[in-house]
Amino acid sequence: MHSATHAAHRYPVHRLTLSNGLRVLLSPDHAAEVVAVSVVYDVGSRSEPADCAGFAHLFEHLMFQGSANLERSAHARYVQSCGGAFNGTTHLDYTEYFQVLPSTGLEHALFLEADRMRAPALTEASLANQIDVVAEEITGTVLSRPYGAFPWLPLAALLFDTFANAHNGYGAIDELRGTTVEQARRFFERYYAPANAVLCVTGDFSPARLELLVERHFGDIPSREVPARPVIHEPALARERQGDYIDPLAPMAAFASGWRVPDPADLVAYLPVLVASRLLVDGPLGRLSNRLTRDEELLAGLGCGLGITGEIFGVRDPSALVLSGTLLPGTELDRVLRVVDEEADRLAVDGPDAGELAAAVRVLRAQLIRSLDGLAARAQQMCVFELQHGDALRINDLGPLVNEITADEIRQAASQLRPERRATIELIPGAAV
Amino acid sequence: MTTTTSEFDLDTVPFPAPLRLPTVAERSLPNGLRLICARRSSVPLVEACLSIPFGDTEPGASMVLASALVSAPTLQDRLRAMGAALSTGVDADRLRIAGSTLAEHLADFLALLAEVAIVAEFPADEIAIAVSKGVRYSEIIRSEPSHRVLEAWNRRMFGDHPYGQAGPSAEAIARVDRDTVLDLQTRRMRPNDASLVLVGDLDPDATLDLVNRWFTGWSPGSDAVAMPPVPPWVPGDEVVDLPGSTQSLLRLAMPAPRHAEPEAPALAMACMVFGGYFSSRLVQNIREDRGLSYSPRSGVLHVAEASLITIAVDAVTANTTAVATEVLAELARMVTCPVTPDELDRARRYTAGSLRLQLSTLTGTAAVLLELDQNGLTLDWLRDQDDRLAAVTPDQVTEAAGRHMTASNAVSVLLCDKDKVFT
Repeated sequence: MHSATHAAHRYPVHRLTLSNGLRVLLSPDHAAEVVAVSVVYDVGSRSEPADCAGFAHLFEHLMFQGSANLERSAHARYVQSCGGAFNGTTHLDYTEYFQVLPSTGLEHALFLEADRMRAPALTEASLANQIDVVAEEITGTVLSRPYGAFPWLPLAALLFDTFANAHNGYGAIDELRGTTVEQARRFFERYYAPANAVLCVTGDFSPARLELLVERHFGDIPSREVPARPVIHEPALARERQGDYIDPLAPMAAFASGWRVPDPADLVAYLPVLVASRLLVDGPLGRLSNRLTRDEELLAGLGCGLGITGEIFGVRDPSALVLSGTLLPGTELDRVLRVVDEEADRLAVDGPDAGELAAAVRVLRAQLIRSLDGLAARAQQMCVFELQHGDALRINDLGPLVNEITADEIRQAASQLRPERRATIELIPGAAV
Repeated sequence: MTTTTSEFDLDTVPFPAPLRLPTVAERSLPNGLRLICARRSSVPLVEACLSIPFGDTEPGASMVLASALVSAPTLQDRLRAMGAALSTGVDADRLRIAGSTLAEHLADFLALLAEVAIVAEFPADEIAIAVSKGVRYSEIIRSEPSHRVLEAWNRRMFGDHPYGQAGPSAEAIARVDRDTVLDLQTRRMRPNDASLVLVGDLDPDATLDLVNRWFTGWSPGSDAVAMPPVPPWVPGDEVVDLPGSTQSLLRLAMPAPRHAEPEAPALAMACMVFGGYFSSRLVQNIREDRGLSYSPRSGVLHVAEASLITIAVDAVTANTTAVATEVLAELARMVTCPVTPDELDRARRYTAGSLRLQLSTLTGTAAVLLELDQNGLTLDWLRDQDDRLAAVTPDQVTEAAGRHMTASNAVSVLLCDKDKVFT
């Protein structure tokens, strides 16, 4: 119907950099009277210091605890009084804060982000309170649930060797209790410099007016030195790794295998791996799903994705393709892995059928479009692409790049899924019936 | 540059601009199917949801039917060729077949959706796979503490009524065979009172014609289907013992007025002030002041035959008693510390804003239109939402809270390690 025009549709970006180094992306979209404001700092759990596992996440909580100007509950009160929603999330390689709100509230959101970029309140009371809240969060999402943090935490620990890549980004509750306000101040000083952040606004606004507002609120934040990015590169595995652990709450066995993938910043090499993963597993379908969950009935379910936490874009090198599944009672994991090797091999040697590839590409294109429909998600991705790819506009290239992927590139991508490059963690069910 | 900006005043917080509703085209087919179409052309996709009344069906059979309905590889391959996806879900009220497609394939997508709704074949091997998947899923979901507490909560509120379950048991799923599914399909996959919502880059009139073409041959069922009435409300407490658990899950519910009842707007505001959002009393007290819980929350839940105020709080074992005490104290405070004009104003603004945010995405718009339809409400009703909330006074909110948000009328369930909590 309108595909010709939409195929060429690209999200616009006006870009500016303030004198303190803050990078600003403005992407107007007048479809609804709503705006999203996203601030992404180039620090995540993989850049936290070795004696501070979990600190990036804990610090994210502290950014909601008031500032030099505002009391603790003010952030939520102002955003929600504007009719808006907010949150903060800590990722492997970045930390994001956002507000999405009726466009009438835009300047309030800018004020609030600038205010805490300038001077968050870091107090003993807030720190103690938020350690309690984070302890509740860790208990609820990791410790008290079956399959808590599976496969992310156990697989990262097996697939990687350095602290940066292998450690638990939630941290241990006991260790978090020992952290101090002084550590928080140093963390802020080091990682929350304006030049270590990207601000993006998407939605219903006038770029000319917004430029003035951004300068008004963020322009006078003093500039600080930007820390060097930590070196987190690790060589790929040369020999297969296997490990296991008991999950006392889990009723069924599960496994996850991870293979290292090309640097996600190199989209031309990375995207074929994404398409290959879809050819192997795509919801109920895909070559591996067909064999493992339907024809040979070895697994109760199977999933496959890029990114150790399931985040396809927004991760730096090193990253991984993760295949995980639930084993039916009686299934030997080795038998599953043999099928995996056979199918990876078949894809590497014969390549995909033309129709199979075209369908996978089409589905992926539709999913990419859908994932960028929300203003907050779009603003987040623009920030992340600006940080990690040096250009927010690269999000517009994803669809076209996926469209151009050839059967040869799929073969090449599949040829990397070798057993000797793989780490496999097995979850042993402590609550099997 | 000619652009200027006025002085910024943090405490002048703007109210969201007037609501902009999507333009919706509606039609009812003679067979009872309602079509609801809205154009939103910013992305080249169409979002679809077909919702069929499925109340008072056997939960195991419903689950297997839903699971096998779109699982066949040949069907999934046809969908993928359009860049489309379809999935199904079923609860005690309705079966939903939902998905999206690249807009350029809408005509083929609708033809396929009609085929699924009207002449699904349920091959024997798909039924077998759905049964085996369902049994495994049921085992895994039952290991989740959040599911265990939901089971006890629903049973305590609704007993033998279909709402009394939290999904079928593994045994009920294992009993399902193809004949059961075919029988359920014949009786219940009917257009009577079903609705189809389509939102996206489409021409509403042309789309209505297309839907008319594909769905007009869907014959209505003869049986009038009525959900049994819910049993009388019996307040009370229950403790579910989970030895070894490190986190306790507390759930409370009280009956609420239906959407269209005069008290509903005031009660919605009361729930918001109580625990409906981050700035609420409950979240500020037990999370931000006391650090006792990560994500305490409350809200109003409307299903076909019941409306409930729900409260959910999770806390580590050592904090269980403190959390329960504070929840009850905050409920009492809704009356002893009357809702202030400021609190009401904030709750109202947040509610107004949330609706605008929801309508800013394709999936959100489809969800709003579907929810309106399932609750028997119209777009005009939604248009008046801001005015209805504006008319609510703080006294009315406090009164509504006093009448409905009372611990003495609650069904409360606590899942915990009993020995550690009650020492």
